Amino acid sequence: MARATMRPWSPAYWFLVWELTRTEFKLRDQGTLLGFLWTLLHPALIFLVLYSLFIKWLGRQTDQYAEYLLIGLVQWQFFEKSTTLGLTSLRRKASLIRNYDFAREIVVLAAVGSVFLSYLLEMLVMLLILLAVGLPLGASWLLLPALMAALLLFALGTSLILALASVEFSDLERIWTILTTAGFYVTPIFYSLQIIDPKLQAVMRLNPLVPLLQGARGCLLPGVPIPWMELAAVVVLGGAATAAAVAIFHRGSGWISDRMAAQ
Amino acid sequence: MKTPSPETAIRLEGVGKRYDIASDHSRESFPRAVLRVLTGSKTRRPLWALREVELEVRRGETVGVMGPNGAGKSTLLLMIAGIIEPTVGRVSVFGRTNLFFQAASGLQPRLSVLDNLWVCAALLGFPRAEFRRRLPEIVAYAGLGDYLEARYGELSTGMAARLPFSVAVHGDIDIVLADELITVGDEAFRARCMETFTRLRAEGRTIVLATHNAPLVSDFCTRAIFIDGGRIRHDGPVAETLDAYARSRA
Repeated sequence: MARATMRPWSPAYWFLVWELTRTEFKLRDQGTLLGFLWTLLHPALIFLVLYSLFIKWLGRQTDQYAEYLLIGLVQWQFFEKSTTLGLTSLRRKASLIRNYDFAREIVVLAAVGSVFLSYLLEMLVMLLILLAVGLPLGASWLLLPALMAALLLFALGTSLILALASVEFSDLERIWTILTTAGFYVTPIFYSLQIIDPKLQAVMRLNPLVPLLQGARGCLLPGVPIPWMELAAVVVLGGAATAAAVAIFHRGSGWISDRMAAQ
Repeated sequence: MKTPSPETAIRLEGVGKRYDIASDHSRESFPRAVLRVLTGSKTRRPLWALREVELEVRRGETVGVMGPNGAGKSTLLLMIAGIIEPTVGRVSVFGRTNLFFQAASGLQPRLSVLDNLWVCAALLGFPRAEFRRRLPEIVAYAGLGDYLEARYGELSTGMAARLPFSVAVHGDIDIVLADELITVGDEAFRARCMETFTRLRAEGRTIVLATHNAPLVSDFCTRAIFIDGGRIRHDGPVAETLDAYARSRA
């Protein structure tokens, strides 16, 4: 029995998405000494650690290793942060759900949206760094927004499904932390798939993040192919997950409110 | 299901609402107790917050809902607002509603008053352009003009309560759902609230007001409901219902 005006095609729906996104974004780093700078410092520090550790070993086997690592890391961090924040969003906003009538999936959209805003800034800084180190500006850079949209869609679909599951299974947050930690190592972020055994490569390519990372690198790095077919499959998967989850959110609005009331 | 008349604003048919609440585990089996300790889960028992509620409110009526704490008043309003759904029965609401209580729960103490005004408006379903147009009027109504850049958490409790209330009363709504509206803000602001509610009533809006305040119901409402243990015990003219409520407490 959600409010009739709170459907995805109504302006009020997107007004609320934007206001909650803005709120999440503003609150995330508020109160810390470095504030908004953490948005850029966090990936920069992780990059420095990984680069220092692996440049001698993996740098020989991967062309333009610094650029390769930086592009992969920024895409991975967006996926990891957005899904983790999306998963916990319903519980964190339980008081909103208990007291206001609105489409519940908006809470997840806002969580993912707030991380996407940080990601946009990280991408901007990353592109400036890539240009500064002499990477040639190519026509394929124009494909980057489409790649970012595909990543957003996949992260959104995953977050919505996880958030729904978290309503019943409170252990999911811890399980997801373990899965994303494992995911960091089984996704080619700081190494190239080519150094992996071919049989294992075939299995690893089933990971939907592989074509997304490979596609981002293909847009920016000369000579790296964009895996179009795999990317199309990921877009279909992300779109289907998002549509199915939104339908469940609409049908299960009362169930979510009841479970949040029991928090 | 009866066909509602064009005059019907709210209709509840055979409505019940059950919650599963944590309870003591003195009677559970040993294996179940071991599982509970290992998983950290809780023993639960059903609690019916509302049972077999039949209610019809006509357009333009001002209905007072009275009853002791835990009687089911807030559950009834939350259900009419569409925030929770009935476990059994059917709730039909013919018009736009807004809650006038607990609205501050979505606001952020670390953000500015102005930011919170925008968030509150979005949560209450305002269109952006409409809210932008009415913002000066809302700020003046709330008396928060000098505090727009202050953090919401820096306001006194009474001042803070004005913000969501002021946004809510400026919404385009047909059915007003209020819980203890008289407790909002200081005496001057409460008087302004009452003026607003009197105007809404004169405009023909439907008002459902949950309260413990018998004089308020007596002065303001045209009909009253006494609810206890999740059941409607009395529904009728204000004087009769207040009498039934007083007798139950004697």
